[in-house]
Amino acid sequence: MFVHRLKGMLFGALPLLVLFLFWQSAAMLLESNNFPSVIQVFTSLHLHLFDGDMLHHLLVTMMRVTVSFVIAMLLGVLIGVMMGAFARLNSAFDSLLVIALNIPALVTIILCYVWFGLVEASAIAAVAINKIPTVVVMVREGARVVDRDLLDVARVFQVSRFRYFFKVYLPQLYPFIMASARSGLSLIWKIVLVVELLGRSEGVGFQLGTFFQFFDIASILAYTLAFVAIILVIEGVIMRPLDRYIARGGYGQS
Amino acid sequence: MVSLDISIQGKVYPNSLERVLDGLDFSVSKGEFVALVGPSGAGKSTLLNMIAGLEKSDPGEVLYNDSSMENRPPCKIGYIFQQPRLMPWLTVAENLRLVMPKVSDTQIETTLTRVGLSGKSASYSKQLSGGMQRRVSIARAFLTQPELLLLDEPFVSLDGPNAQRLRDLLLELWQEHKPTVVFVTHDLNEAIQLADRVLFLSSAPGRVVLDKLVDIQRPRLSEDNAFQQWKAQMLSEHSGLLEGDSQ
Repeated sequence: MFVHRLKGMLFGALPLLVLFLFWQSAAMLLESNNFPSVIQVFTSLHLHLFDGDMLHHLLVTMMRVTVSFVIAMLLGVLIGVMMGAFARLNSAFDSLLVIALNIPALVTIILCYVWFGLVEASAIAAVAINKIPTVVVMVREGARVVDRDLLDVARVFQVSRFRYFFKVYLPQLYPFIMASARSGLSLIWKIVLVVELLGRSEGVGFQLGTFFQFFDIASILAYTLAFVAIILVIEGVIMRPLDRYIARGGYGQS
Repeated sequence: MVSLDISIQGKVYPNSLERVLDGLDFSVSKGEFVALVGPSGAGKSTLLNMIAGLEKSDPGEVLYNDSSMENRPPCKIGYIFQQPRLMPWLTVAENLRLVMPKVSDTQIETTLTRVGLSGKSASYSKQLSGGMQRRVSIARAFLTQPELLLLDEPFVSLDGPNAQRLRDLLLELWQEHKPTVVFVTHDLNEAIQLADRVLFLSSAPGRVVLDKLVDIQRPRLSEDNAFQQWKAQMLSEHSGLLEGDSQ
């Protein structure tokens, strides 16, 4: 069992190892300041982590990601459920949704900063506004294919509204909510960096902007690595267990 | 206890011109066991859904204890659908608890034992065979001790002995609590075996073509003489009955 798991881990790490080896040898061949080696990047990571204020900036960015993620998911699910459940509402807001889906993230960010000022709230709002439409689209699809037969069971047996929503209706949307949460997390942290680059004085995005001005590529890559690592941890600690919980009883799998 | 008076002028689904039910009239008295027999497509499931309040009916079409229902039926209903319709994300026990939140673990275990599913309370429906899922849906309807029990061909995909066991159980539970029962089937033997009265529906659009009291002592076995005689006499008097023809 243990050997088997170890083998699996080694197998998963192999592509990463090959990438690092390739990277290291390419950097050593090129000997360019703009293309630091793996060792240089990890040295820089160590430096920022223990002697710099990387932790602080990571935390600030993480906070922004979390808050805007929660807001986007809550509003997105709410609007998505409503649009999926009520055909009239759906046809009324459908064109608006298409517009919202296609407004570039950069435009929303600039407009939020210009209209609401260079403050934390407008940064969060800009990120959330970018993400809400995609959540709406996915959840709406889920709400459209809800199994009426199961809802009828709850109606006939006069199940209370609370249990109807949480035990019969919402579980049918979980796979869709989960999919939008997954794609949401990766999209949101990328947008948060742009927001920070444009109008905040702390956070990973701000730091990347500073390093860019000094052409400090090693630091840029070190920050990227650190943040990707955090996202991987979130994936492993929160998303995967949630997946297993939702798929209990084989639901959502064909 | 609840009595039913059904008087449906005509039932047409939205966006369709075809009549599903047409001039369908019958009554079910309190605690009576009525079987509805008819060819497929006669609108039997539609009728059950109208009684259950899942399908829209006009005021006066479905009367509970002589009064029209407002939005939802005024009594506790147990409905055993053609498909088991269990929530796949809930265990067997959770599925039962969904319709009866205040039920104890022992009550759940007792009910499951009665339908032959002891020890399965923690299973998810995907881990059960089709027949077992059906028995869970039967347990779900029994557990609520309904005043009105609606059954839509509940034993159709079960093997012979299991179906028979559940028929016996249904009779047992009916005799214990005496709910009013409307039982839809296309199996005449099953109808004769169980019901106080058998109603025969015409092919679509459905209406009642024959309303026949089953005056045979219980328990009734399909091998018994009285059973065979009753069936033979009725079929000779009304040939073509099972095709939905009253002649």
